[in-house]
Amino acid sequence: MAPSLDPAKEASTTIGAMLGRARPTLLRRLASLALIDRRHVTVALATADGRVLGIDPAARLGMVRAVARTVCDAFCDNVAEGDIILTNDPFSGGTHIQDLTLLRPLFVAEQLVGWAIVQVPLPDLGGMAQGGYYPFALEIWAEGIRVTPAKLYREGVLQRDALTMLTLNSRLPHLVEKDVQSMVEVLELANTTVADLAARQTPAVYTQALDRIITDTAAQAQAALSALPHGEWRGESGPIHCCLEEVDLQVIVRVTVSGQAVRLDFSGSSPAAKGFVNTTVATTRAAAAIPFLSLWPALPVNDGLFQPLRISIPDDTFLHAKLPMSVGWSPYQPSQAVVQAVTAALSQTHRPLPPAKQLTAPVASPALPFAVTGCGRPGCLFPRPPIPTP
Amino acid sequence: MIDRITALVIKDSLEAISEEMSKTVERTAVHPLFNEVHDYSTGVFFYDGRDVRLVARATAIPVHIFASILSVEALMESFQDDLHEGDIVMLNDPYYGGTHHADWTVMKPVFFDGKPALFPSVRAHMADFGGPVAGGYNPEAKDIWQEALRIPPIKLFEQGVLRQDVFAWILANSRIPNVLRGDLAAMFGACNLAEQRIQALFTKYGGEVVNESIEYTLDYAEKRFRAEVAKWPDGEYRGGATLDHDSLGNYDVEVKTTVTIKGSDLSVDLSGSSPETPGFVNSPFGNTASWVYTALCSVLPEDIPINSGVFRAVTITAPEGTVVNPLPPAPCMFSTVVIGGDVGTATMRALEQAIPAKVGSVSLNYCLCTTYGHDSRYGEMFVTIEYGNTLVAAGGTQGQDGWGGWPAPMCGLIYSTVEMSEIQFPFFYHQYEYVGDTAAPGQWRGVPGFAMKRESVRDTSMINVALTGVRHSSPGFAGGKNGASSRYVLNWGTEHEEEVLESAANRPSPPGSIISTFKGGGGGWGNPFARDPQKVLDDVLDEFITRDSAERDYGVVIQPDSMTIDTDETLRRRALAAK
Repeated sequence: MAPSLDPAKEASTTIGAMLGRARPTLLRRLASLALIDRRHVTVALATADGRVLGIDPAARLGMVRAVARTVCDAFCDNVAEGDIILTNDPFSGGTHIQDLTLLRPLFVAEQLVGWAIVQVPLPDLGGMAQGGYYPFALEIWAEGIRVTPAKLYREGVLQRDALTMLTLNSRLPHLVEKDVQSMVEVLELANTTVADLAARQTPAVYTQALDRIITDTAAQAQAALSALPHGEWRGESGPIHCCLEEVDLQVIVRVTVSGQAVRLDFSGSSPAAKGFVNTTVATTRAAAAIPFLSLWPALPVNDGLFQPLRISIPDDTFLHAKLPMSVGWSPYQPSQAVVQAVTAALSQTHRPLPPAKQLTAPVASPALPFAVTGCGRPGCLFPRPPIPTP
Repeated sequence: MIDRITALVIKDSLEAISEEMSKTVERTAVHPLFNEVHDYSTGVFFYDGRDVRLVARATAIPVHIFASILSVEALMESFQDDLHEGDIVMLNDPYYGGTHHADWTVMKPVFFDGKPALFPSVRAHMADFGGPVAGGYNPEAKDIWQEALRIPPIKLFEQGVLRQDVFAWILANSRIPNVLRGDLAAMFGACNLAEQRIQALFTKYGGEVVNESIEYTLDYAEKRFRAEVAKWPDGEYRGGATLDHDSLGNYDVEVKTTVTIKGSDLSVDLSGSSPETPGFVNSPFGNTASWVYTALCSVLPEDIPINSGVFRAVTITAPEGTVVNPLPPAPCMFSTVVIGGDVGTATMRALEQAIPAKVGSVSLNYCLCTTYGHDSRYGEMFVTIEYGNTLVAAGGTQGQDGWGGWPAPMCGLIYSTVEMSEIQFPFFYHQYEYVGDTAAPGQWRGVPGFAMKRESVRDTSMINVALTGVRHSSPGFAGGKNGASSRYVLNWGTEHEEEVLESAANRPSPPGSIISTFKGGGGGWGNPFARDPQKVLDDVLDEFITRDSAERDYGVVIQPDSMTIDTDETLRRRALAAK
C-alpha cells in the first residue's frame, strides 16, 4: 500500500504551486501593467470563512486578509457557484481606491470550501487626478469611485451593467475592462486547482486540511514568539508630510512581548490628517505585520501568522482612517512609517532583521508613469504644478 | 377610430397619474431639494420598439422635459430584451441622454398582455453622489470624472427584488447615503403607484384603446403646435447669448441660434456656438434641446399639451463638439442653468424678431452656491444648494412685470424657506430681501435684485461658488433694459473679506463667517419710457425704486411732498426722450 500523503501538506504544496503560477500569468496578461504599481498585483486563496491560506506576494497578506474577511462576512450566506464579487472600497477592508479585488467563492459538491482572490490596481477610477493620487483630496470621493462589495458575476453570468458602471467611471475604460477579464481568468485557474485538489479528498477532509495549514502556522508563530525576549520597546518614525496642512505626522508604537502575544499599540501617533496620508485600520495592520514576515522568514505566509499579533490602533489617529477621509497615499509613505516604527522597536530585541531598505521595499513610493503634483513645500514628495505661461 | 372624448379621458388620466406620482415623491422624499424645492419631474412614456415618446407629464422642471426622453431611450436600448414585470431601472449619466450627474432617472416598465406597454418615470435632482466636491458642482472640473459618480443604465430591481449590492455601491458614493436612499425610495414608490394606476387604466379600456388615445393625443399636440407656428411670420431669425465664463478662465462663451419658420415647420439651428469649453458649462444635447423647448413652450398657449407631439414638429440641430452638444468627457454639471439658460435666451432672442409680444426671459443667470459639512446637531453630513443667492431672474413680459423669483417657465421650483433651512442646516440668515433701485427698467420691469446674508453657525461649512450674470446680466427684451449684475462676497465684514469674481471651490466658512450675496433680477420688456406712470409711482411708493430712478429711468417726475405724479413735467421729459 502506497504511503498516503498528508492532506494538509498536499494542499499546501498544491496551493503554493498554483499561486506561483497564477501571479506571473496575471502579470503577463494585464493591459495596464505599465501604468500601475505591480507590487499590488496579488493572488491569494482563502478558506470558506475568509482566512488567507496562501498569498503571493507575501507582503500583501494583511491587505488581502481584511478584504477577504469583509466580503466573507457580507456574502457567505449569499453566494453561489460562478459568482464573482468585486470591491475596491478602502472602508470595506481595502487599501486605496486603486486596488480592485475580485473574489470568487469556490464550491466542491455544492459546499463552499474557499475563496480565490486577485487584487490588481486599476490605472484610473475617476476622481480628481488621473491614476487616483491626489494630494489635495479632502475626502475619499476626490480620489475616485468607491466600489463596495458587489457581484460582477452571478452564477457565471456577467452583470453587464455592473461592469459598465465600473468602466464608465474610469478614464481608461478599455484597460480596466481588459484587466478585469484577466483577473476573472486567473480566478478560474484557482478554481480548477481547488476543484482538482478537493476531488482527491472529500470536502470535509479538504476543509480540515486547510484549517490545519493555518493552525500549524499559528503554532509555529507562537513558538517563534517564545524565542523573543519579554519586554516593551518603543519605536517611532516620521515625519510624514501633508499637502493640506502644516503638520508632520509621526507614527509611535509600543511593542510588548509577553508569553502569549506581541502587542503593538499605536497610541500617541498623530491625529487624523486632512490629506491623503491617512491609513485605514486594514492598511495599518497590514504594514505592522510586514516586519514579522522578515523576523520569522521560515513561517508559511497565511492567516496563522497573525495569530499572536495583538494590534491596537486608537481611532483618533491618522492610522485609523474613517469615512470620508482620503487615503490614496496610505500604502506608501504612511505604511513605510509604520514598518519603520515597528522595526525600530523590534530591533531593540537584538534579533536579526534584514536591512531597513529591504523591509520597506514593498511599501516604498511607487514609480508612477504620470505626474502627481503636490504643494512642493519642504518635505513634500510631489512637485508643485507648473505655473501656466500666459 | 378612437372617439375624442375617450382619448381626452385617457390623456387626462395619464396626466393625473403623473400628478399623483409627483405628489407621492413630494410627500415621501427626504432632501429639501426634492420635497420642498420640487426639483424633479414625472411623466409617462411610450415605446413603439423604435422611439420613446413622452405621452403625459405633470407640471415640472422644464430642463427635464426633453432630456428625460433621451434617458428613457437609453434605458430602453440597454434593457429592451431584458425587462420583466417588477423591474426598475435607472441612470444618471449625462452622456446617456442626461443633462448633468445630479438628475437621476428612475423608470419602471408596466406590462400589459405580457409585454412592456407604458413606462412611468421620475427624474429628480439628487443632492450628493460623490465626486471631489459635495453636490457635484465642481468649478475646477476639467473632465466628467472630476464631477461625480457616473451611473449607466442599471437595473436596481429585478422582478421586484432589490439588488442590494448594487444599491449599496451607489449609496457608498454619496456623502449622505441615508438621504439618497430615502429619495430613491420615493422615486421607486411613485413608479410602483403609477404601475397600479396604469394597469387599472388598461383593465378598463384595453390596450388598443389606450394606444390609440396616445396616438390621438400626440397628433393633437402636434396639430395645435403647428397651428400656432403657422401664425408666426415666415423667416430666418438669428439670436445669441453670451456667458461670462466657464470657471476655468475661458470668457464670453457664445450660444448662437437660427430659428427658421416656414409655414407650420420650425427648426432651431445652434451652429456657430462656441466650441466645447474645458470648464463645467458644456450642455449635452438633451439639456440643450430641453432649453430650446423651454423657450418654445413658454410662447405657446398654455392649453397645448406638452408631449412628444410638440417635439416631433421641431427640428433641432446642434453640431457635435460645441458647447451645446459636447462630446464625452467634457464636464457639464453646471449646464442645466448655464449654458442651458443661454440656449433659452438665444432662442428667445431669435423669436423676439418674429413674435416680440410673446417673448421674455427664460434664463436664470445662475449664481451657484453649494454648501456642505458636518452638522453637529444631528451628527451627520449635510449637502445643499443655497437658493438665496440666486433667487430672482424673472423678466418683464408684455402685460406683466417680472414677478416673485424665477421666470415663469421655472415656476415648478419652489424656494425652500429661511426658517426650514435654518432647522435643516447650520445656517442663520441675517438678510433675505429685494433691493431697491435694482429692477431692470422696461415698460414691464424685471423683478428687483435680491440680497442675502447667511452666517455659518456652530459648524464650519465648505462652500463652492460659480458666479455668472456679472458682465452679461439677465437680458431685456423689446427695448427693456438688462438686469443688474450679481455679486458674491465670502467672509463679509471681516479682514478676510473676499469678493468672488468667477468661482471658488471648497472654501471653508467657519462659524460666525458670513456670505453676502446680491443676485441681479430679470430684464425688462419694452421701452421704460412707455411704462404707465401710475405703475412707476406705485413702484416708488412700494420702495422698489426711488424718485431719482423714476425720473432717470422712466421719465416720470414725482412731487416729493405730495408723492403725486407731475404730469406736465413727465410728458415733457418723455417727449424729449422720444426725440
